Amino acid sequence: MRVFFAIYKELLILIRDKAGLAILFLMPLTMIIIMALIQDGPFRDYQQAEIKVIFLDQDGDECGKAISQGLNQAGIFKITQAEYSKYDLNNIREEVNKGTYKVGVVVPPGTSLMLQTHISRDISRAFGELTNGPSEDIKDSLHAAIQVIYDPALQASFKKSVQLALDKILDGYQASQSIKVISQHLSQYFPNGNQFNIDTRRFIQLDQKTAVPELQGLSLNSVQHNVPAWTIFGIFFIVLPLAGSIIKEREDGSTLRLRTIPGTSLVVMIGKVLAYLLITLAQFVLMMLAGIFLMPHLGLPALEIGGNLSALLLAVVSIGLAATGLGVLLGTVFKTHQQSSTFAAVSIVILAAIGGIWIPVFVMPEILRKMSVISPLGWSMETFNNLFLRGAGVEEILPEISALTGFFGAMLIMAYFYNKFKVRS
Amino acid sequence: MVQVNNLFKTYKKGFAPALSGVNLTIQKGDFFGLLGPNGAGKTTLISIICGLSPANIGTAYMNETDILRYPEKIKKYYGLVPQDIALYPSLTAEENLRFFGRMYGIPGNTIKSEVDFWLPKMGLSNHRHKKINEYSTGMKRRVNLIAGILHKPSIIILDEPTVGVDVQSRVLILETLKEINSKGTTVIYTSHYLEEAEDLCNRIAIIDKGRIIKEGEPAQLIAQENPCSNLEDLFIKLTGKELRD
Ligand SMILES: Nc1ncnc2c1ncn2[C@@H]1O[C@H](COP(=O)(O)OP(=O)(O)OP(=O)(O)O)[C@@H](O)[C@H]1O
Ligand SMILES: [Mg+2]
Repeated sequence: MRVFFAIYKELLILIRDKAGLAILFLMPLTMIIIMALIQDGPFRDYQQAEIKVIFLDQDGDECGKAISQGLNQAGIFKITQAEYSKYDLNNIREEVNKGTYKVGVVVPPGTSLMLQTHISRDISRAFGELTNGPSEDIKDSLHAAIQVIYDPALQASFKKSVQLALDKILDGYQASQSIKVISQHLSQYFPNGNQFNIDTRRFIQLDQKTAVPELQGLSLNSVQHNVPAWTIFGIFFIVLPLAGSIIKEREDGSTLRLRTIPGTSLVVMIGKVLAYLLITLAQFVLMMLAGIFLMPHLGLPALEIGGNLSALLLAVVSIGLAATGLGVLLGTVFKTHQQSSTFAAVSIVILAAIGGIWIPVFVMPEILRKMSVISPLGWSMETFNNLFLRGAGVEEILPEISALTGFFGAMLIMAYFYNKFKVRS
Repeated sequence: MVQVNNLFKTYKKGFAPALSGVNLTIQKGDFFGLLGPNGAGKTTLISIICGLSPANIGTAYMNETDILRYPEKIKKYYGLVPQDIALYPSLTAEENLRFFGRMYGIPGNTIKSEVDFWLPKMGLSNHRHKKINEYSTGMKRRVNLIAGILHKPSIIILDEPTVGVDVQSRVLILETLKEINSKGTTVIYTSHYLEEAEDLCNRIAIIDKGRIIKEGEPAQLIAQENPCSNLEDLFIKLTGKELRD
């Protein structure tokens, strides 16, 4: 019962601290907006990978068209057709070198003709229509190469996808051309006029799914990373006002007065933790609302929060507890507000960095990725990713939740023993 | 009521002890003054009596309960008015008193009637909704006093309750203490204002450098030492004129 009055007192003090409230609510909100906008571009590069391609068709025949069509259908390239009369291989190389395009593709003249000649000869020979081997001049012309020019800064994985796409297009095109010619030849053997139309569609399809069916089509984007990330950061920032409030209470002498009231120090501390936990919940709700309703107004995708609200609540409470635990310890150990604020701010920024708040853990170097396991902000991020992207339930987030609540417990125990040791001396 | 025997207290190893062998007996109904210069050990002695700080050697009892062994058990007997203002600066006087009252476990309507009684009595009825950080020193001291006596303890312990306040505030605070004492509440208070102690206290102890150097009724002590005409003369005679750290 007394704990309610302790919570009330704490909230009353918090509400009157306008600067503190601004830090707790406006700072993470601002960070969400700014970071989601800033990282929107880079996230698109990673996820949607639209590679800008300049395409020059000097062939002007079927092969050139097939390649152009194939690249368009691949869906990962943004194709610009270079005008035949204005461009040659050198211009294309310059364009790529300038960085306007990541890749240049040039189909040289006569490519279609070369392929046709080659196929016709081989098949005619197969049907016994040609008895002599190819003459030397034809043999030379049997080589043609599609010119592919890469931006030197293009990542290897992107080069690979360009290469794979072109290989697939060329393999398919050559196969279909071969079948066409074979069909024509076969028709000759069936004089009753039957046409051989061999279906060249592929009968084995790919059926692609995300491991979690409900999250089909959802992948990590700027909003999906930054909203939970800066919410966590904001939640952990309550360490500053919480530690400050403990120190201030000690300086103001209220702590001394409370110690003269039997069994009250603990009640007031519990009240403090619960009051700040309520604040973290309020922060969380505000940030999620911003993610869901504000982000689309900024031209960004809306936040998806998964379907498991009870698991989400459990996660937020665990994160809030971890943050308040740290606040209690720092408020106990540090003598002045200044010391604790500086230490808290610096350590939260560092823990945020290695915990994958600034940029996701998976793009960090190996050594930092390994270090991320020590950051409670990293555990929190992992929890949200599990809930939002992988559709996890309580069971799947149990390891992170246990780590967070364990951290809370460890902080309180350390604060308790520190206090005990200090009073004794 | 309060009994202290051979109390020693050192804050840091190698430093002079804050208390070295203090003996003291305070009876029920006493208005007891603990007088001494800065750094004499008054606050230290009070925090031990209140069960807030351990001693190195010695025993201390409040209502026959061992303070040093069961510091939590004696806290229900007393109310402390600390030397420093112990209130939440961003809360109003009323909010502070309500909160501390609740922490003492006083029911809401009792708190309300107590607050309604005390705030006007201490001249604060027009300021009850003002935040403590907007108060003058004298006003803060008056609220600090109310917060320590709201739960009607049988012993009130005050550490320099009148330091830094004007004459009007001081008179009001002392009158109030006198009134409470006349109804049977034991009052223990520290001060270095001697004339105020001479008027109020039925017993005083003079403490210097961690030792009680005189204890008794003020008039008797003054009479014992010739040629002292008041407590201040006695104090100077006993503690000397050298400045304290
Ligand atoms: N927390 C502490 N750590 C170390 N030394 C202390 C501490 N508190 C008090 N002291 C020392 O103990 C001695 C007694 O201090 P105490 O505060 O009890 O004196 P006091 O009589 O209350 O003085 P004042 O009139 O200034 O309030 C002083 O020398 C003081 O410097
Ligand atoms: Mg003192």
